[in-house]
Amino acid sequence: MDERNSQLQPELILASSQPRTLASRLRLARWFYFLCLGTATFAVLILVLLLVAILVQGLPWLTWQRLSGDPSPIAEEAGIRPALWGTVWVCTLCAMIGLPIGVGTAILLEEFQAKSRWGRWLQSLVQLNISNLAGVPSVVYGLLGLTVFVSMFGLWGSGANARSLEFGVRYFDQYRTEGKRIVLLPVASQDAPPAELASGMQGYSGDMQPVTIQVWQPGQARPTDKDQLAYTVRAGRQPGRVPQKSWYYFRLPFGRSVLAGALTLILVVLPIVIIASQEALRSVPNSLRDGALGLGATRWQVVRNVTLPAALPGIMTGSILAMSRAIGEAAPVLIIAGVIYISRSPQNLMDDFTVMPLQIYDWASRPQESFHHVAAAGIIILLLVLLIFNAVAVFIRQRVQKSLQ
Amino acid sequence: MDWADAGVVAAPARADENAAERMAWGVEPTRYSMSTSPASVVKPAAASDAHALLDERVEQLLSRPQRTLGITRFRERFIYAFLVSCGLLSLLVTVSIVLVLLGETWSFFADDQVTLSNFWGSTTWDPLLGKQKSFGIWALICGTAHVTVIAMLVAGPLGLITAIYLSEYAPARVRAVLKPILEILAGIPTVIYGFFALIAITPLLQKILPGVGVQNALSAGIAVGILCMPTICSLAEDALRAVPRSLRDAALGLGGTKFDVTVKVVLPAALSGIIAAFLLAIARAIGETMIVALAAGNLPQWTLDPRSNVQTMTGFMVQMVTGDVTNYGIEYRSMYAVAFTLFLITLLLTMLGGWVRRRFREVYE
Repeated sequence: MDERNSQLQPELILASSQPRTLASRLRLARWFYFLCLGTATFAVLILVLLLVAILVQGLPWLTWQRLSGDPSPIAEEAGIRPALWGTVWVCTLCAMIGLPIGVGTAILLEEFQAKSRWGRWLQSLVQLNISNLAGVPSVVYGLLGLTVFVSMFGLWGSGANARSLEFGVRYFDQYRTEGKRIVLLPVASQDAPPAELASGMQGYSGDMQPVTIQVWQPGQARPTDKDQLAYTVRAGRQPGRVPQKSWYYFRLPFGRSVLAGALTLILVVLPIVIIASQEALRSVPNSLRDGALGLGATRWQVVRNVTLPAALPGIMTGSILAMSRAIGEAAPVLIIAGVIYISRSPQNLMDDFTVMPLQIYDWASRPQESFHHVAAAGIIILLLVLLIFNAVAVFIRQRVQKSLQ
Repeated sequence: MDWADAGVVAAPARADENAAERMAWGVEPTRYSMSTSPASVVKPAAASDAHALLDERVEQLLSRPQRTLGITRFRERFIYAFLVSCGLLSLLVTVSIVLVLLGETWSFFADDQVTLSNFWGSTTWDPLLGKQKSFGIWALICGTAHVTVIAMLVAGPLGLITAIYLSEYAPARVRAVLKPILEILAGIPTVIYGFFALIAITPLLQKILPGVGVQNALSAGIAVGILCMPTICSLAEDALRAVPRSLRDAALGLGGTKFDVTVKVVLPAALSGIIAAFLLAIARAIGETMIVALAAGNLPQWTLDPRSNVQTMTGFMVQMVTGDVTNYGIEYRSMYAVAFTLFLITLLLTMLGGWVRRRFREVYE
């Protein structure tokens, strides 16, 4: 009998093991208990330490300026307002588009079991795919978004000769007048050559009031009337091309825009929404489905009127978790938007944007000590936003749950 | 037609564990509203009222305009098509990740300055240097390995022992406090951990260890470890709790102490789930970006010293998008090659985790 086999014999194990007294075994058990207790306490201490470190750094700097200010290069004046609005825009879009898709996929996988062999194979493929997607690092989604949404595979050209397909935007040539004002002259497109200036042309003043433009040739007598000078342009003055975007401004490719960021974040949170919704749907007892089917309901009627309402609290819990993740996610947005100076909140789907975690990253990565305080104050605001979001979402969930009972 | 109105009242599904428990014990979580309770249960005084209410509801239901079967079928098909397209979208995401990364990686390797032997054989990563660019991925993998190993040394013992405490020792009241705290830790945005590493962990390390720089692998690794701890803890706890009570009772009945039961019986029984938890946590640590971008540094080097400034694969990507590198240059495309390597490693770990869990799961009656 070789040595390996002999170890499998129970009586040999007993004979070879050290005879331990009951007291020493109980002592070992007690020590192990204290180890477990200590480790668990340590986990709590880490959270406390984290919060204390951030509060100590941030609280003295948490003023109204932090919430309402722009990300100024001076630490004392820096605030998070544009990033806060960026987060609101991106996450609202992300929820509006991403949640229906995620819940839809979960319903497909749980409630619409395919009957054919091919269909079953496809469903198990989707299932496997989702659990693998959940493990993909979020930066990879960022790179995907960069290629697919931001530049759209470079279909509209890349680098300096990039063009885009635009809707809801008008371009103007902006001239500086002799009266130190500006007038705007409409042009056909972004690339159109500047129009020949002539007296009597119709243009717009800075606040978009229609005006008549006068041209003054140098060498001739300069008009002296102040009102006339306000819309008088010196011949040969070079214009600047400015866009006037409406609220529905849209372009292809999306560029480093709010929409590209939201679509990328959807990719990140989609697996979370799907897996949580699937679990919620699975916990609905089958008797309810059978009952509804027995009453003659179709598959969708069962889902719409029985399964979905019953699973709604669970689905909402998963959605809250997913949206919290979207609010705090920085890496994919960093790849999409980069760290750029943004001083105003987004006005349309195609505007440049930044989000709160990204703004905090920007501040935290600066060497100056004062910006670390600003970053800590920003983190407190971010945590408060997360807290408020979770509280509101849990409140809504409870209302839904109550109305279903 | 609204079945809920007609009195088919849905059961309140709770996603928590209690629901599963209650169902396992055969206790129906369903609560019935007044209208569904049989008339005989209703008190005689209110019987006529309840009947009237019921009659009214039936009347309402019957008086609704009836939908033809054709419309219902059409709606059914339409919705099914929508759901299928949702499902296919997730497949499309995977396919496009692979295609985009493969395509860009292909054009990266098609460049004259890049060779496969350099990419896999060199330990110098220098994509920005004028003429002698070197793309040795091992320098970045070294940084990632540093952070991941340190993170697992922190998160592994912490997470596993906390999971053992939660599942085997903790009284219900402690559990009710500890679980939400761990959930909070899991829900904190990663950029906050990066900041924490920078302002708290690094100064602490600098006091203890000599030669620790402002940015170092050790500090970033510890922060990533704290981030991964709740992942390991909750997954391992699920695995431990899935071990049936009868095993514990039997071991206790044979005279084992609580330590014997936990370490020699429950832990081996839950091993597959625990290994899967570790693999998922490793995948998470490898893909972690914001912490390493803030705390690990940006110096890709082949080193064994955890105190040194290192650059991870994800850290390099952040450096590329935040620096002023021209788009569509060779160094820009190298980002996709790194991302593809990262994607392959994490995909492998995730699939391995799923396989371990399925293959080695102990199934109990």
